[in-house]
Amino acid sequence: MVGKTKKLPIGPIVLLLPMIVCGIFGQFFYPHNPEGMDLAISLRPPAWLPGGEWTNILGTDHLGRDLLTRLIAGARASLIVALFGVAIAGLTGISLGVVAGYFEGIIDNIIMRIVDSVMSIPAILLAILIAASLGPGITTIIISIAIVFWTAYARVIRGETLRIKQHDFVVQAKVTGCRSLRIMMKHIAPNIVATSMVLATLQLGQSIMVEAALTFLGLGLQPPASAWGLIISEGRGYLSTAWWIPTFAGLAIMMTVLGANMMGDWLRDALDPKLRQIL
Amino acid sequence: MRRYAIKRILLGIVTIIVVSIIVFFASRLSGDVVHLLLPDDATKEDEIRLRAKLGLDKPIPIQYLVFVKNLTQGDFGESIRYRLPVVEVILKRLPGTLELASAAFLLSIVFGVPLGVISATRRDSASDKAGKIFALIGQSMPSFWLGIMAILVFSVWLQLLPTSGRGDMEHLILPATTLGWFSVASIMRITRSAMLDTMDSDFIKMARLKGNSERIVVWKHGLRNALIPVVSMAGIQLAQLLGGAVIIEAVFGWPGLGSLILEAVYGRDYTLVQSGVLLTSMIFISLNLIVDLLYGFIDPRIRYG
Repeated sequence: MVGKTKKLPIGPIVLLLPMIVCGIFGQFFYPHNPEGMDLAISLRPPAWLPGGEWTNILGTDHLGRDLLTRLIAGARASLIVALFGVAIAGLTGISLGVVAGYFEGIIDNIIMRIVDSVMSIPAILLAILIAASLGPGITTIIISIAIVFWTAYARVIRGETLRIKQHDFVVQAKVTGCRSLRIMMKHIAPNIVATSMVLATLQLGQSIMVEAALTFLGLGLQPPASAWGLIISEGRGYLSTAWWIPTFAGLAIMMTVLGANMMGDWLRDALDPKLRQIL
Repeated sequence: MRRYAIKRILLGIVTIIVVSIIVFFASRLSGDVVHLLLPDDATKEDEIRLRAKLGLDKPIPIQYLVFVKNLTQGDFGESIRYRLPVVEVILKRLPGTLELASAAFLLSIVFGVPLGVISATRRDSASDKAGKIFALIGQSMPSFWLGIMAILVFSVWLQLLPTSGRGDMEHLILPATTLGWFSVASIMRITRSAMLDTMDSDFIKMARLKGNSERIVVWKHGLRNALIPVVSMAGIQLAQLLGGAVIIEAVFGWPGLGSLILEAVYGRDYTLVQSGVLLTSMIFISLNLIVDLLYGFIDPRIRYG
């Protein structure tokens, strides 16, 4: 189905690949120990600046930990949270969306009222509320992201299901006596794969942003772990002496999110340009 | 119009009720808040006493009903940390958030609308493409990072603006610009697409045929008729700004509702967190409701929607 497009998405691949490689294989090529402190070389600037050394290409933080190593290690936290968060949100949202669209009536009404309500709580506040009540940590962040993001799937997939349901193949399946579950699994599910994939990719970037924000606020991974949001919040205290710490960590987030957003746009146009109207 | 308004208001009330349920249960996800509130050396009796005092010894559905009953009487509970009614604490910090959000809102309209119009009238030109790239990159930046970078450049390096706090205009510039930044792109995009639709209409051709200058055609005939989706988007953005303010306030040490909620999170003041989130959501819902009603008022065709 991707065969329709001629070009490979070079831009998004270039932006995303380093993050994925670092997230999966990072520990095999850490230049240093991400938690290895050495106060003798604390706040060392990047290599190309006066006082920099090529052993710490992007410089070090206030505890003398190598910034590049910490950024590589931080990719894993972002990758895990984004993948699990989006997967749980997706499975929940897609199932509820299909059910709502297929049965309509009161079930639909209940599900959609919940969706509307969750959407009317500012996302970051809802995430903070959940993170605050569950206590900080990576699982908390994954749950927060799942609870914040499932609504988008439910809303979009419900609409798609309502549309697909009108087609002859669904009507005929019903006439031949297929059970509802079978119709939803065999006839509706395959037709919402493209939409779900595009939505999931677009949400990867969003969930990395939310993860970074929650971690920045101190509700995610705790020190001495390496996570991009944490590196920024730690580096913030040394802004006047060590600008490189928050700057490079932020660039890492931006690169990844930009890559995910561009990949989502590309997928949408490649799989089904009509999706432009709803996503 | 009347029926539409009534239906919309009822829906808003249902949403607020469901939101109150979500907020109530989300703040009890961990099961027991009592352990969070008690010091480590607390005895069993202390626990029982506190539980009874906060009404936490009753089943959760009953707790919720009590919560709602108090809400309807305007009682949002008492802040555990400040030992004051939550509403009082919140009202003290609300003006800060409103000031920040409205300044950011103003900025996003002042920049977003003209940029969108320019983008639409020079479709596929260099400035249109630059606008698209700006939007794509702008939306990929975490807001807290943008804020820190702004502090780095304008406060630390150039020493032009203060890093934190609330006071005169100088204090407002950085946080408001950072917060507004993300809305500019959205307002710009919606203005662009609305303008593209409008400029294709017959009345625009008519306006041109009548000999109006292109400037009048675009900015008067075109923009005025493209405004409806822009107004709707502006309403959504205003509500978004309330949420976005939480992080911006934390970055710039801005005394508002968002930083209050965060302090409450750190201080384990769960009544304040719960009511703060609920109240912000209610403002958010009311704003969206007002926008929807306005929308029906500006464009009579909506009435039957």
